[in-house]
Amino acid sequence: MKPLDRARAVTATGALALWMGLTNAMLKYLKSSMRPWLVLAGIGLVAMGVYSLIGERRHAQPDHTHRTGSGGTIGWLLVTPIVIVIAFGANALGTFAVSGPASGLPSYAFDIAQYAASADEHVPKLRIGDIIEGAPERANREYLFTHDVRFIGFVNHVGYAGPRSFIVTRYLISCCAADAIPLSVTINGATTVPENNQWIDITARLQPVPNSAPPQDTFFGPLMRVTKYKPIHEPDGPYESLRSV
Amino acid sequence: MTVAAVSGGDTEAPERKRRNVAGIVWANLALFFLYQESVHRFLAYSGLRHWSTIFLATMLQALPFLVLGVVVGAAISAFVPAVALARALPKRSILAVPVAGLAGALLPGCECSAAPVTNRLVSRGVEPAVALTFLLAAPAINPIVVVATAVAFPNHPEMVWARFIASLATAIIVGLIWSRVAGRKWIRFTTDDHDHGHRLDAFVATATNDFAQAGGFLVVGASLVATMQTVVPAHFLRSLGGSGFAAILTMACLAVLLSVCSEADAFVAAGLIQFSLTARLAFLVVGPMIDLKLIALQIAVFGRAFAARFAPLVFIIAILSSIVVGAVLL
Repeated sequence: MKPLDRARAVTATGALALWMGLTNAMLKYLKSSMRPWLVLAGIGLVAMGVYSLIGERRHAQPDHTHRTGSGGTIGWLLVTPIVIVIAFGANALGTFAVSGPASGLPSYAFDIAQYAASADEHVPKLRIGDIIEGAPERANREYLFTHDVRFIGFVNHVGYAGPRSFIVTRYLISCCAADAIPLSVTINGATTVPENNQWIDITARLQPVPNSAPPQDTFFGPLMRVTKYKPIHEPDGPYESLRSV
Repeated sequence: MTVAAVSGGDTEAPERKRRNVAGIVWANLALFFLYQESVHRFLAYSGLRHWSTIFLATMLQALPFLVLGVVVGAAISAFVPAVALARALPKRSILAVPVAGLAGALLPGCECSAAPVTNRLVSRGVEPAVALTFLLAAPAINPIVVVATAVAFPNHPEMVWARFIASLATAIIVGLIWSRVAGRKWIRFTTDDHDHGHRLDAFVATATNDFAQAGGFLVVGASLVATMQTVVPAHFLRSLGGSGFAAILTMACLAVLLSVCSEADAFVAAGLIQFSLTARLAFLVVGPMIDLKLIALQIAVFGRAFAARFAPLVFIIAILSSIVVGAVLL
């Protein structure tokens, strides 16, 4: 790789990082707390790339290549992320990695009833993580059994939960999408079942698990009865994070 | 006349070929950009899309840390006099290795920063074993990782200590073994010739060169990670389990294959509750030191001969030290 191409590749990689960091595209891959670092990295790469582009143009010495090292052919691989973003677009994780109930989440110190009392809405907006982590705990479970709650997620049918049922999932990420854990609830009592991959804003109430519950393999997370739902666009921040972090 | 033309063409051919490759790459990129709508529809198959998300997430997560590492490394190379570092460290490696291990706590962030910094430390005259101890310790014992581990294991606060001690012990033991056995052998490092000339030019040239090299290998590592996570389904991981040495070995191998960032691996380990605490400790100790993307980075920076010896050594010492620390603390 010649210094000129190297400078171009570094500039292009910086531009990709800047574009991700300055739009909401990055939220499909990383937590929002990474945004300043991604922007800084982009600025640094573009600055270095442009500086060497100008330098290469100004004094194109014949021995320049040898003096600064070639950077190896491997540097060409830097165009891969750019090609992939152009080819696939920016995509959040979808139904592909949805699987059985999440296990071993950190312990939960969030009082849903107290949160609901302090919130303005009649029906409190929760995260799916609140329902999954809160349900095993007595006070939270009591609240969830007796009140409607609202949350968002995407619909899928990865596990079969019976007719008029579907699964609503959101991924929990702690660093980036590569460490995502799918958090799902099983919804029943729907008059119409939404399409696969459709994001919905749903109001539902926790149900006791019936004795005739399907086996673990097909039963994804807590069972809830739907009160109402409406289709929405995929949110800018498609992932959930832990309350405790 | 024909002979002259042929011989002239021979010397110019590689140069022209290289220029053609460059032209093809840039032209394709432009073409892709213009027709992206139709390409998106073609590639909408969810497995490939999942791959692309994991690949880009791994790249973007590592990018700021790689830039930080490259910039710190280039700054050491361009602005720190060659003798200053060697003078700052204890002369004898038996003392310098533990000092370097503890100094690892100073470089916050992921494992991707450490390799370029280590390379430039070695090229500034620091003994390889000492610099490598820093490389191993930095991602495992810095404050961010300690806090993340404490949050992920609220019911097992001893896990934080176990991880800290086992990681530091691994780094120091590997450093001491390396200083005895290897010295300056096998490791390939960049020789600096920047003591003369323009400092800023040298800084930028070093940084872009290191970034292009390490970034290229990071692409290889991220592709492997994405392929692993796409091909091996999550429920397969849940079906693994067991106890004793088999579980520890399984978790150590998983750490290498999954290549989760050291700031997030505690959350993944916390979720794999079917494994013993010691097995999960092995996951947390091995992961930040040796995994697919780190092996790729280490080949990029230090060469194949180095990685072929260093990676197995670290893997074995990390498992042993997890077993010992796990037996005492967990």
